[in-house]
Amino acid sequence: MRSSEPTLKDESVPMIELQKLVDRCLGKLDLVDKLINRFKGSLQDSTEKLQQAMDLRDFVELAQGAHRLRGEAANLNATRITKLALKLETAAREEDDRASQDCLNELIEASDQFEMEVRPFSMTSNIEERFRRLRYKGF
Amino acid sequence: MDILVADDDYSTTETLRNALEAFGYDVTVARDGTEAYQYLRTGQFRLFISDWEMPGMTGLELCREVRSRHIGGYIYLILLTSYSSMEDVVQGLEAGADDFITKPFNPSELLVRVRAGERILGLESRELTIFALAKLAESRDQETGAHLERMREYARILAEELAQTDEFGEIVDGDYINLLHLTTPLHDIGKVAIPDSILLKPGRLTRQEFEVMKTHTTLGAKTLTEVATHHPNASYLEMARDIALTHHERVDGQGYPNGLRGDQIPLCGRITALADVYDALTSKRVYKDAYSHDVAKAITLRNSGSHFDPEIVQAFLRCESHFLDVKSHFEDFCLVH
Ligand SMILES: [Fe+2]
Repeated sequence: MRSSEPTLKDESVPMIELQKLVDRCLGKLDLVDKLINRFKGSLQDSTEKLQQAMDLRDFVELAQGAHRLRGEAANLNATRITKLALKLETAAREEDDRASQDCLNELIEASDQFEMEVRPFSMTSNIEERFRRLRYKGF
Repeated sequence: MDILVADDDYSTTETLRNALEAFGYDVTVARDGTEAYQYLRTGQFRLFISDWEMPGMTGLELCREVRSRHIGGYIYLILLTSYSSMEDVVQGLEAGADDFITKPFNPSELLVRVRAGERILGLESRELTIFALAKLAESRDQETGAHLERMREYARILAEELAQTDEFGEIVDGDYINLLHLTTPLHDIGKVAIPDSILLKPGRLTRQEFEVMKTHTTLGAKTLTEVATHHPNASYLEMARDIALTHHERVDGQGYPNGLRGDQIPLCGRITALADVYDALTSKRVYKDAYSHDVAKAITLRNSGSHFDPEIVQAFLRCESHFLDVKSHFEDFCLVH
């Protein structure tokens, strides 16, 4: 990986910019909740597919999968995943084996983190309270 | 209004749906390009927001498909894109997209873009209203069939040809051509005020009756001027007025109502004159059979410099084959209806 680029493990890149997502949903918190849960539910599947493509060195598939994930994440303002997916997409288009795998590892790590950190959000039934809790956690 | 949204990403379609519904639109969602195309073919959607990359058909392919086939009225196409380089925008425009929204979208921007689309579509309904009005005026006059449809096409063909010339290239641009196509059907609108006894008379008109008949030009122009005064934004009505007033003028000054000569006659009037006469010649009327194209062409040529502007006659000769295409297109059309 090029050393000049800031590493995205850096906590300065937020996992999710919730306020922006809430704004895009025009304040409809049940929709926010639904989208986050759905994304969370699909993340593992997405990263597994990316790893499969990586293992096969299928860069076309890898770039497409990363592009798709980036779009999904961007619409949720899942900023860290968006940025990592873009990095992976770029590396895959350049067919850079090493950089692709590095990016993918980072992406998998961020995805796990996303799943873990977002979990409390969907465990209580009160939406307002879930929203608050997430904010307490600094999102 | 019902908006069609196509994206394979669930969160995008659901956030778009939520925002558009909050703005008062109805929303139908397609999950891929093929499904979107099926919906578009129903002709029930006028505004379409599509993802760029989708399984089935991509947004670009959908744009091309919609533009190459004539599906109902105009469909306003907005491409959703995470690309923003100039090259992609150009590619999108070439495929026929009207506008772009960058993903992830911003709700207020979305509203502005959709409203702009609605405005454009409104212009098309304006066109339909004008055409309906013209058809209504013409409906008393039997046997004219698709006269308005054909002559507006003839006028457009002539204008497109003139746009290529040194003399008219500066005047006749895309806007001029669109406006001409929009307003030529109103040329005879003044006939609504002509009594049936004259308008529908099968035989020759007496001198006095013909004087009344001639007033369809001034009456039409007067009505259109009045409308234009009350609607200052409707500048297209000025061209409509010029056409209504001058489409029976002749370049030798022997026409009516004002006996204008040469380029005293507005260009739109001179173009409409040829288109109108050519169509009258090649159509069947109570008092005559339809002349063949060759006969109509000979008559047009003979009247070059007297009735018609020679430059426009030359343009007509250069695009003769397009005239024939239009003529046969509407003949086929009449067979099936
Ligand atoms: Fe007329």
